Amino acid sequence: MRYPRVETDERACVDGLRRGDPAAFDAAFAAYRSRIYGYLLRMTRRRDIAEDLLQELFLRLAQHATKLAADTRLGAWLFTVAHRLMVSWVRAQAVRAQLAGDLMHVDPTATERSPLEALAASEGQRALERALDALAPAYREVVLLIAHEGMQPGEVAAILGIRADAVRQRLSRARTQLAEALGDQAPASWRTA
Amino acid sequence: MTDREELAELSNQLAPIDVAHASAERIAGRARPSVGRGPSPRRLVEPAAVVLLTAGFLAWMVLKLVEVLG
Repeated sequence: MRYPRVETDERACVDGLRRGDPAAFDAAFAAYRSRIYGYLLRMTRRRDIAEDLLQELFLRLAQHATKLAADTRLGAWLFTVAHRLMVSWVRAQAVRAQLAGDLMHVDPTATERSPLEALAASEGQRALERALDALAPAYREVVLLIAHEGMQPGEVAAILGIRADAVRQRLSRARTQLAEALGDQAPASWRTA
Repeated sequence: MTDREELAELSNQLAPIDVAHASAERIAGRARPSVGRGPSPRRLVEPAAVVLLTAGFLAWMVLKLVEVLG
């Protein structure tokens, strides 16, 4: 059986997953893998970790496929689990750093150059990736989910387990910080505002 | 423009990202066989063994305590 792209007919994909049809899994993987990998890579800044978390995420989808509710919004489900996996990874890193007695390295990737800068095709893209990297993870995550993924604040609030007001506040602060970080490379409309 | 619209316009400039083809194949290949099967029963064996051992040890301790006090 052929499945349409998840964006256009998510219901058919969820129905197929509920029946345990591997073709539905393939359709979901094809539709969401790059979006979620991009989110994980921009949050963890490490390819190996992003791939590991992506694998764990889709393994969980496969294992929970038949237990999905009929009205499951697959994108929201996947991003929610991806967020939880990413948070668990961050916590594990923090514990590891504490055990090592090196509290200065709670985020071991903080000093590493982002692999995303290498993907950037222009100086503008590199500046944007650097500015995004410089944001606090909570702000970066909101920018990625709302601005990049096009989700509504309410959806993002459900994924992150916070209030929609808090999401809007983070988005506003992220915009201010990005404008400062980008300086002259910020869009003209931002500078005149 | 709202913050959301402005940031969306800006994020359109981000480079597209995708997982390497070989990695994507590996990930899908590992997950696909689990569709509709649920977690492997082997994942339950270890916790079950720990519970049994702990319960056995606690029972043994209670018996010993009763024996000493009695």
